[in-house]
Amino acid sequence: MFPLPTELILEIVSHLPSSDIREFSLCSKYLRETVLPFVFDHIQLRDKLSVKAFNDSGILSHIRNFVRYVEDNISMRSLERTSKNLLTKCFSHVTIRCYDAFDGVAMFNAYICASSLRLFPNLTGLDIRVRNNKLHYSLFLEIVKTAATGENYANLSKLSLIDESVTFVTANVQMVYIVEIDPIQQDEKFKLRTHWGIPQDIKIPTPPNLKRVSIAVDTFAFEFETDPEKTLASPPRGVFPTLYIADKDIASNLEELEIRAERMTFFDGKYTGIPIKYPRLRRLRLIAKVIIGIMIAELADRFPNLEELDVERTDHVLVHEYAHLERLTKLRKLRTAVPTVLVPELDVLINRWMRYGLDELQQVQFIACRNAYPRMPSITYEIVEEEEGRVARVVDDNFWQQYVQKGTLPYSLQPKALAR
Amino acid sequence: MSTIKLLSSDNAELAVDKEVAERSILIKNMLEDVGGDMSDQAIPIPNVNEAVLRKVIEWCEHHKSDPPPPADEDSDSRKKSTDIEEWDQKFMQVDQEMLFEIILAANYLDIKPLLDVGCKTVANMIKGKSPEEIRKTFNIQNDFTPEEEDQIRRENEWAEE
Repeated sequence: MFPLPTELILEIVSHLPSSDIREFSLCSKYLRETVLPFVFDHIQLRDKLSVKAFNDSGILSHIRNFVRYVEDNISMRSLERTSKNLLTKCFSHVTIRCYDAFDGVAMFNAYICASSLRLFPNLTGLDIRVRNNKLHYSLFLEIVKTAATGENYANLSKLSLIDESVTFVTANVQMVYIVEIDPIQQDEKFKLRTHWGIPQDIKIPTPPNLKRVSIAVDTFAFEFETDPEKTLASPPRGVFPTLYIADKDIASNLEELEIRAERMTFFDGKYTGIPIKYPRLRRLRLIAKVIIGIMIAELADRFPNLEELDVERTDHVLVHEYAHLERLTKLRKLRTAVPTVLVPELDVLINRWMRYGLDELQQVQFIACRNAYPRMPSITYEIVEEEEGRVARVVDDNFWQQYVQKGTLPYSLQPKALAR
Repeated sequence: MSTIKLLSSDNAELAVDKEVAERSILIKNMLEDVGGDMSDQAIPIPNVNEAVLRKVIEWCEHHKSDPPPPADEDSDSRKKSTDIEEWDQKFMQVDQEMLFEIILAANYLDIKPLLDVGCKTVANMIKGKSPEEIRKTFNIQNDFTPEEEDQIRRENEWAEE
């Protein structure tokens, strides 16, 4: 006996970690049936055996419609009302994981897992996690390509690509050879031309309804301009394991983007192509060890409607990097590294942003550099309406009081050291 | 401050501050629909008996000045955590029958924070327990054969950790 209607049982279960849900589901047939969607909300495919279980004759064939991933922070809300709501609004999510296996086996498993995705009609989320140095990008790419042949690929709205050993580039430059005939010498010449687009064979097909993407790689660049000379010597498939994703396909619908990378490259306005705009992108989170180039100028070019920007990096920010922030006019929430020069005047900096165009700004959090403070203390400002207009006020401070006032600020962050 | 009357399923009439009663979205909407004037007439709450209704009112009384829950329900942590504030923990130290009655009443009356506290309390009673212990706690009849139970354990192994 568990004297509650289904939707309240689901409400209770939504507070439990998955291990407890699994135990709970073993209590009785009724409870098993009720919480089944939660037990299999997120599955992992590792090899042939795990795929076999979900096949028509497999022991889990009755469950595959329930394979859903209850997404963090969005769908939980939708659980509130009825179980019908639950079943229609939940996400479906599968993880394909290929780690540390002998290359041939990894490749084989990856194919099987990717082609098995058609077993899950409600799939809307897909994680692909690969750690694979030897096969370059090809294993990863083949998984996505195989997945893309499934009908439900078009329904994917969330995609995670995690391979920390590759370089990820959203490219719109293609190298093609064209033939030109020299009219005087009647001589055929091969000539290298750059074209918009990327070569078909290394392009990851992008699901048309993609809204959220997270990527974890070694090196990341939004766009990559190939130097024809170098490319001639080292073709794109050569030395560096590089993944490409077609900007134009992905840009139109994308709403949220998260990128983790050891190195991130920005073009700092020197990029000669036309950066592709992501008109719907609202939320951007970047986590990088090293950022090369000036980031915000490029972000403002690409993401004109950005509402939330969250940048974690290990170093400080040079204050002139913020010169372009005012162009992100829709920005509501900002989390970023403490700038070096303006340390004592952070509120002045924020008030200036608002004066120069950030009308929607609501909250700014500055985080201290992770190299100096591994626990990343922060200082948070919220924008309040006062007589003199909208101004920034400190609402939470575990940085200033702890470090700055006690005089324990490292040399590089002290205003005196930076005075001109 | 105006007072309204609530009529429980077992015909008990309880007087409550309007502000307190309006923690229930159901009652709040009802009052708005009739234009707020219910001073002479008791509002029937047909699904809730007197004992439970008193308990629910006690909770609403204590939480009457709580800020409204954040509109932006980004707080995944709210859902995932089973932390309950101390007063609420004490409040929920009731027998199981009453606990379920409170959850049902909170759901019917549409008092989301109380529903949350109730569900978290039950979740805490499930946490970390084996199926047998959970069955014992809630007096659940095991209708699986040992073979079926074994089969389900094997199925569960495919769920991701």
